Amino acid sequence: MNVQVTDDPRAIGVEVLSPLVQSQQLDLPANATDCAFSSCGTICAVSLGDGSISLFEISDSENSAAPKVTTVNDKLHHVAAVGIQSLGSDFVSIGQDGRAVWIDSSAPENSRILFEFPGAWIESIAVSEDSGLIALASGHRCVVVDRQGDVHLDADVGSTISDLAFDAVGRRLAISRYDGVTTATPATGELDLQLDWKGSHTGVSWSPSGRYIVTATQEKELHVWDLVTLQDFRIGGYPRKCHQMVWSAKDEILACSGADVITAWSFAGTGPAGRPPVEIGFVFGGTVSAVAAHPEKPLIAGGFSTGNVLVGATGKGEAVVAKAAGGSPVTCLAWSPTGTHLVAGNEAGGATLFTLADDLKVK
Amino acid sequence: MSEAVQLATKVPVTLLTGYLGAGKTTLLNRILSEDHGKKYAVIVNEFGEEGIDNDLVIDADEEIFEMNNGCICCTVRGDLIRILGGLLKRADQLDGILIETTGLADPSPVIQTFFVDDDLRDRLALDSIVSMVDAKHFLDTVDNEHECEEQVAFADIILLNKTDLVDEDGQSAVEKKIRQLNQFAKVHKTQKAGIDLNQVLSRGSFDLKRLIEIEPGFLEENPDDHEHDDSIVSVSLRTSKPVQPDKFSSWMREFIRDRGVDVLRTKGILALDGQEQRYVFQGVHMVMDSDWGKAWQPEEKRESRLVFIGRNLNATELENAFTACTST
Repeated sequence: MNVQVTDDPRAIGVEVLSPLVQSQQLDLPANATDCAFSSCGTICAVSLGDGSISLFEISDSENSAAPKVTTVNDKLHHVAAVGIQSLGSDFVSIGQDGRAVWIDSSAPENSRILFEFPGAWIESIAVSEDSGLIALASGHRCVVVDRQGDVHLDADVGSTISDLAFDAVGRRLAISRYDGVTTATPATGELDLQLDWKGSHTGVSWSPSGRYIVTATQEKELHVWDLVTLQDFRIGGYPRKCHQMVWSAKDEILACSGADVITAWSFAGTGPAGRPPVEIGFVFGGTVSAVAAHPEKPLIAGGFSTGNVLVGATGKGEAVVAKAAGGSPVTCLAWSPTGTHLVAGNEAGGATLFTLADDLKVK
Repeated sequence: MSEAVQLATKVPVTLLTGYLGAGKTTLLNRILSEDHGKKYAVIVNEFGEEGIDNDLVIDADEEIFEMNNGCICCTVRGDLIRILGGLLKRADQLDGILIETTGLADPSPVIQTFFVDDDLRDRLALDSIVSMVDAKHFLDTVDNEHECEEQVAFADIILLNKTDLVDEDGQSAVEKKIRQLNQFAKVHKTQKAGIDLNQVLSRGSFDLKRLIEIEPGFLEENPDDHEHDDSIVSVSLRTSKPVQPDKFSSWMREFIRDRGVDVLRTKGILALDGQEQRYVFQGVHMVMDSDWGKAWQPEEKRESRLVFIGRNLNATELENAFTACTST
């Protein structure tokens, strides 16, 4: 167990509440590319650049506030594993070997290939706990399967797909591609909307209310489509490309990477137009490289290129330092379903597991 | 990430161009199959060979898009941003990456991709543009095919391949034509793409810190004005007089803004008036990169050199404009 020292001078404008956050280091065989918690919150999975998946079983420890961690590493992909998502107590990983693998977390040795794109990379995955669907993309092709591997949608969107996002209930899927977004309804197998904006869209997300689809673009902007008014607009000013976007669970706030602070845009009411974002947790010389939204509270975790991990409130901008600078850039973050734990994977092949006190508050 | 860490982990990327049948595939096969103890990934459009490590050969789809940044010649290869980003997620550190462009493609979108994408700039370094030239067929195709001409014009390193099929006079004629198009490329004569790979890979041709001198071209004459207006020429300028920084920068800014579409490549090493260090710069179309280079040594001749490669270049006009930058 290791309580982090949080008085790092490089983390400026940060409220320090160190006793409420405990952390422990987890060793990984390679660089972390993505991470997720199972729905029961006892298993954390990290996908890795060597094709392995590391599973950490987290159980209460009798003598310490930090949990006991048991590790299983399994090289499920032939080349890099680039994404992992949980579905119930199990996981689905995707890799540059063209495979989507179903990982039975109670018996990882029984993992099976859920779907395969022979000789191609699978580059994006989205899952919906509500509909039980798994969307996969490789090149121009998007395939939606269920946990048995039965295909519900198999569509060519005519251009390379960069990212996928289900709506809140998992009935519709947003597919980002060159020059815009295509939406699809897996139940009917139909592609429905074509949302066009010229250029390269590198990521997509769908607001919890279902009203907004937001993409990140190569031009270091966000592009927003309002599906109610059918208008679209840009949000600019990012120094770097935004690689990760998450919606805060309860308050229709979109948190993004790409700046030296976590930017939190409120889409409640009239939307973000004309309103500045809340800026959370400035790190001097750092860029936010990963973001994750607390499942229940209005809190966002941000990982930085400097190795810092901060947890901040979406409404105020103050943040708690969970991990000081040092180590390598944070590539991925995930909260456990109740928000008790947070995991941050990094480029150098390490992860930090944080245990947050129940009464964690950011003033 | 600190500057030191970034530099240590930058992976060199070599762009391989050349007309169909010039020997690109032969060279790629050598790089992938020879026992050189290094790990290279190759990004290709179509690769027919079997029996090579397929994880290291990635198909590109040549998806080009225009940046919405107002730069009229800034087209970028989206597929490369995606594929290179994917390769950087792999645990294995690569010693280098080669990008093969199809026999007909203009390489500038590939080059511009490295200038405009911050993520790639942080982790990768565009190393050199290598062009394979078929010694036997080059002179037959170069005057009719713009792409064939452009591939030579853009290159830092030229492999004059299949020299076993051409006699010495024939080789000289090809070299002369190459020099008309490109006065700064290093030319190696090869047979069956046989060359020490250290002469081709990790050369740092785009590294401004290594731009110490522009090697004098084989042909030191500038082309006659008005000869073929739309064909590519290479114009080399030099002066021993100190260059006035304000005059030079306003000329260059205006010239590149107005003529950037025609100017394929620019390289320069300048002795600016009152400056101890060399001012080094290079550009591809309108994208320019500059830095302070090595200091001039007391015994060195402070000579400024400038090379433009492009279309519709009038050598006399450029000489006059450059000379005007030296008047106080």
